[in-house]
Amino acid sequence: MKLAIQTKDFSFTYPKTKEATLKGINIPIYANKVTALIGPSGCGKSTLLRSCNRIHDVYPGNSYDGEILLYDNNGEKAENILQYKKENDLINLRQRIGMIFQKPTPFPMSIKDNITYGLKLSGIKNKTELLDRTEIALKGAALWEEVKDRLNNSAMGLSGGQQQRLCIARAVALKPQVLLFDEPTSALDPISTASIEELISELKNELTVLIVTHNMQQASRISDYTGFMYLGDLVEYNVTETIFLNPKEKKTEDYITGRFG
Amino acid sequence: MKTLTEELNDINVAMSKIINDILQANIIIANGLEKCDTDMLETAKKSLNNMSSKTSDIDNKIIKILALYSPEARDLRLIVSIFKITNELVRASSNTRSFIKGFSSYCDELDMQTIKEYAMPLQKATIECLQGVFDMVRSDCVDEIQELFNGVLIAENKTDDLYELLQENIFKHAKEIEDFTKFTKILNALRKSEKIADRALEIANLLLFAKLGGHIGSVE
Amino acid sequence: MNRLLLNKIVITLSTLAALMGISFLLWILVTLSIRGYHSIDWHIFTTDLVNNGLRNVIIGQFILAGIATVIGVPVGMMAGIYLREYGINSKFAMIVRNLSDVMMSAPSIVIGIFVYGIFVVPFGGFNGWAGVIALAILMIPIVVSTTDSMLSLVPQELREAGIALGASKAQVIYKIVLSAAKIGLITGVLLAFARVIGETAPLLFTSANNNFFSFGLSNQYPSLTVSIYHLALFPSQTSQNLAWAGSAILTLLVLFINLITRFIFKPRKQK
Repeated sequence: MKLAIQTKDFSFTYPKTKEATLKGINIPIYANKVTALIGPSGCGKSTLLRSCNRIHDVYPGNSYDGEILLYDNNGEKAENILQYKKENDLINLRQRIGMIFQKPTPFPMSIKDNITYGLKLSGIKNKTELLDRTEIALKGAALWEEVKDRLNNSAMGLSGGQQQRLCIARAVALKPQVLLFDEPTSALDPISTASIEELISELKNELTVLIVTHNMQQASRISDYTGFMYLGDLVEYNVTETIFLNPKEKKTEDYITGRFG
Repeated sequence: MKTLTEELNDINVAMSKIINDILQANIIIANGLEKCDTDMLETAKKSLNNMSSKTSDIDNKIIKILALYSPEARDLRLIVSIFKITNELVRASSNTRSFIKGFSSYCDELDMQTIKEYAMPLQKATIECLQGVFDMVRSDCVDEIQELFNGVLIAENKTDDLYELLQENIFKHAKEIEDFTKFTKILNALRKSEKIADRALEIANLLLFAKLGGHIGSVE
Repeated sequence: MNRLLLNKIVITLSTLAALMGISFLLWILVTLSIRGYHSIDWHIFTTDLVNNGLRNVIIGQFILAGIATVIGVPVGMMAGIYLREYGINSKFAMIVRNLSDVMMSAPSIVIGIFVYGIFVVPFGGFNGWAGVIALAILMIPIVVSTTDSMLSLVPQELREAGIALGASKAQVIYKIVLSAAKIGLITGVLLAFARVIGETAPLLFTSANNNFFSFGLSNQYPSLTVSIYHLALFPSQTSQNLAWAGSAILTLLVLFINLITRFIFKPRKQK
């Protein structure tokens, strides 16, 4: 099993807080698989997700401990991404590990410009190449047919589900190795949710997915591996079927059966 | 990970295959009844090997689907029905094997008339029930499904009637028969056929619930 | 019954209070219109103050406010961007923000006197540059405040989305955040301009006034507001009429700019 990411005793403390939000997390994220993080509010799952692309660094004062290893495409050599200090390294990291947020975040530009924004950042200037990759990205996000005639219209005119798919297309255009999803469908209606879940299942052929979700059924539907977190600890991690059918820890079972959280 | 539709299709196909195996075994029995071919009967018995493990596979798949997919409505009715149908399939299969076992030893003893008048029609009616069930699994048309169910109901009633007549007939000739225990054993064997029809009707009832809705309940 | 009656009383009283407030506004507008109407004709827009016209002072007011805007808006906006985007947790930013808020309430005459002491006395006399600087000082805290507010309305996820794509902080601010806040920022600039174009006290002792048309900012410079002040005090009927005309024009101008921001910019704001 090829690894994409592996954390080693990873701990995280928010600025001006005594107690660590994440306590010594060891979790494997396998390549070309969907891994889900579930748990009650405040358990640290979003914190863990956001550590993977170092987006916490936008807000100074955090402290990290341990390692987060990012493997190359062959699953062999790995680098500890917590060691990156230069802005260039962080920029490269974020082009390898993309992120989709809970609230759809289209930029206030045309649909086309939204996609080419990231591409231009990574140095692509050739207009034909930009258009080609835009088309590929929009097709990959199952959005091309709906927007191909209005690429120059503002992205703000799209529906919520379309906007979220646009954000996915925007991230996918950079051909990242990993995509992080932070509760991507909690602001969407059931039909948009279903289409995005289908999209995520297809995306894992091209890349690795780590998804945080409040919705247990979503985790059980789409993920291959599931990690249950509680108060900063990774209580249980296993193949999804085991977690939902035969969980080993009582806390996991209590959460899944709705006894708390 | 497979989608819910793919998983449902898998268990539908697996159940279909088991029903077909039981149906074919019973058809072979009918042929064997006429010719008394013990080899044929042995082949039929072998095709029903490992029934428990096959149905357990289906049961475990259903549990996994319930845990992972939270199915609703039609999908939920289908897998809950199949969960109960597997029990009926195990019993129908074991009844078929008992029938074969009970019958092989006494094939030559039964006279042609009894066979033609009661045993053959009984087994044919049982086969009708099984065929009806098999067709119900593959149908999606509401009217057709209801019609097929009615067919199974009528055929099952026929097996009850035929078995009673057969029993009466044999007891009528009781004084003439030397080895009466032999005949009770033959009766027992034929009773299995009637039981298979009972199981088929239960399965048909569960399929009716799965495809048309309502509540789960016994046929009686 | 008691509650219904009380309700009716309160509604009536509040409606009367609202009408009273509006009626004063309407009274001002009506008075200005009537008195001003008689005095406004082509003559006012084509001759200078020296010939009892208002051409030079109207243009002068625009030039003073315009240059003040060119200086004040970039400074104010950069400061606002610093406060909201770079200085979230810094104590220095907090101090700057507080100071800026205080400056917004600073009496405009005090600003005028300050600039008088720094830019008029050492340079030997009233001059247009001093007027521009006084207006700019008045404008900057307003622009800082509106920029700060408008940028704070941009959702944080938008910034994070830019960073998550590999943009640098500067790229996120200048291409994404400012774009998202564009309408609000422009509204803020227009409102600051409208405020500044109607100020008198900062100009009183800095650029003072000029009866003649001029582009030379190193001397006394013509402005509408100061003209109204002087004309109103002068006892001739012509001057009085001119003062009313000037007031009407100034009021219409400020009203017009405010209406633009209200009807053209607001309804197009993002959902």
